Amino acid sequence: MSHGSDTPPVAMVAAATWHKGEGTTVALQHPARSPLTGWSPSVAALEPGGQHLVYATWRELREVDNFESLAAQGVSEGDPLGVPQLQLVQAGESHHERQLVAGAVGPVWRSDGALAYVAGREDEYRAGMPYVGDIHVRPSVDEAPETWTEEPDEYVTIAWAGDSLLAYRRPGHSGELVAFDGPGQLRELPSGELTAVSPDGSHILLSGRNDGRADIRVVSVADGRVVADLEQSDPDAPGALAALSNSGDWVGDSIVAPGRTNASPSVLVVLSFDGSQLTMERKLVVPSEQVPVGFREATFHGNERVVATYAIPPEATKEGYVESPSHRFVSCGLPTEECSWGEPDGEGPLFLIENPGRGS
Amino acid sequence: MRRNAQALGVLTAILTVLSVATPPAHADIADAWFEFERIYNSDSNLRWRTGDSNGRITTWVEWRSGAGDSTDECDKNYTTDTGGWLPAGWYSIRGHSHEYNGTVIKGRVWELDDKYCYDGSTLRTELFFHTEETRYRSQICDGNAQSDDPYCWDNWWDHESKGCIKLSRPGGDKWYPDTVGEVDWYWHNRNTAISYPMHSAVYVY
Repeated sequence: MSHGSDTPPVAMVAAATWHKGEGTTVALQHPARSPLTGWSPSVAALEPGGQHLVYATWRELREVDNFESLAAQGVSEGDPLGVPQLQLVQAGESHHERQLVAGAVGPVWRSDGALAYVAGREDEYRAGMPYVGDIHVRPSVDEAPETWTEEPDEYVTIAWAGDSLLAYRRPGHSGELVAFDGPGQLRELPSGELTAVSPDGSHILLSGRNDGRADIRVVSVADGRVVADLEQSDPDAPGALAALSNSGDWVGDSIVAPGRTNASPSVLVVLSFDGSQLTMERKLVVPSEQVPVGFREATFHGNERVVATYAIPPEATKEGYVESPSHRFVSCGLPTEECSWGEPDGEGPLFLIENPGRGS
Repeated sequence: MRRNAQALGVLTAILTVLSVATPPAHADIADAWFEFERIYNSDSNLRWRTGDSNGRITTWVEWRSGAGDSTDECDKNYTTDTGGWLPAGWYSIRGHSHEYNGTVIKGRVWELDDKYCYDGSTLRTELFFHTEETRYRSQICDGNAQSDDPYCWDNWWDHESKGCIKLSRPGGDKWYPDTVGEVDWYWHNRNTAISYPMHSAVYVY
C-alpha cells in the first residue's frame, strides 16, 4: 500500500475541517467528535438534497489526562464530563453554522429531510453514568422535535431504513437493536451490529460473533425475519471471515464493510445479496503492519473503488502515549486490489459523511 | 500515585518465583494493583502485583483472561460481545460486588472508571472485570449451540467481551480454572486497606 493523495476522495470530516471532496474544505467551529457513540452511528451527516450538514461535537466540562484514571484526577462517579451537542452548517456558499441542540447524539437524516437524534434527559454526560435520553425526530431542522420514545432509556440512533428508525437500546448492556415505525411504535429486531442498510430500506446486514465465529445475516426490516446467512465452508480457517464492523455501505446488491479474518485484523469485505443469498465476493486483506487495528468505516466510491478510514494507535508506556495517533483513509481499486493511503491535515479521527449504509 | 514502572519491571522477573511461593503478609503491602497485558482478545494476561514500602515487587500472580472482540481500543460496543478491548492506561476501581445485578453482567464484578481511548475522542464506558455467572454466582447452562449462554462459562471464547476484562470460572461440562475466584481472593486477602474508589488500581497496556 503506497502513500497517495492526502485529499480525501469522498466527503468526510477530520477534526474541525469538513472535506467536501475534490479538495474543497470548510472550517467548522468545533472538532467533530462523539465520545458517547464512537464512529459507527453518524457523527456528521449531510441532509438529503445537500442543504445542511449536521455534525456532533463535545463541549468538554473538564480537561482530563486520558492515560491517568479519572478518580485519581478527582473525577467522581456522577461528575459532569462534557456536553454532546449537534451543530448545523449550511452547505451552500455561506457555510453559516449554529448550534442545533445541546445534549444530543447520533444525527440521522430521513430521505425527506426529517432529522432524528437522541436528546439526553440532561445535557451533560456524567462519569460512570448511562446517558439516558429520548429519541427526537424533527420533520425539518427548523421545526420542533417530536418525541418517538415512550420513556427515556439508553439509545443510540443509527440509521433510517425507509420510514423505520433503527437504534440500539442499552448498548453498554444487552445491546438490543430496535426499530421505531413512528412515535411510540417500537419493536425489537434480531440482535447484531448494524453493518449496512439496503438502498430501499427493506433489509439490513447484521454482524456478530458466536463462539468465536462470524455470524452474519441479512434481516428483513419489516418483520425481523432472517433472510440469508453467510455460509463459510471452514469458519475456523485462518482466512475465514471472523467478524464485520458496523459501518459499511450497501449500493445495489453489493455491500462493502470493514472486517477481519481469523488471521488478519484489517480486511475490506465485499458481499453481494441477490434477495435470497448472501455471498462473499472479495476479501481485500491489508497487512497489519500498515493497518494494525482494523478499518473503521468503509464506503463505495463509484463502481470500482472503495474508501475506508482507519487509525494507527500510538505506542503506550506506563507514563502515557509516546506519540499521537495517525488518522488516515485508504482508497482501493476493486478490480486491481491496489490501495493507496492519505492523511488529511488536522488532528482528529476521520468520519465519513455520505454513507448510504446509514440510510440517508 | 504512579509507580516507578521501569524499576518495578526490572525486579519483577527476579522476584516472581519467590513471590508466588511466599505472598507477603497483609501488613507488609504498601501498594497493590492489577496489570492487564493485552495480547489476544481471548487470551491475554492479568497479573496481581503488590509492592512493599521499599518499592519492591513482592507478589506476581498471573492468570489467563481476555477482553473485547477486536484489538481497537476505540471500538465502542453496541451489542452483545462486540467491541474493542479496553484502552491502555491507569484505571481506578470504583466498586466491587459479589452479587452485582446488571442487565447482562452479574455476580462478581469490579467496576472501572471511564476512559478516553487513544484518539482522545471516543469515551469507553461501563467497563468491568467479570465472568459469566448469575447474580448469586451460579451457572445456567442450557446447551443451546446457536447462541452463547451468558451465565455459563463453557468455552475459551467466553474470554471475549464487549471491552471488559473477562475471567474464567468452573462452568459447563468441561473444566475451566476458577480465575474469578482467585482474583477475588487476592483482592480481599492480599491487598491494602480497601476503599472505593481505589485509585490507579489497574494498569492496562
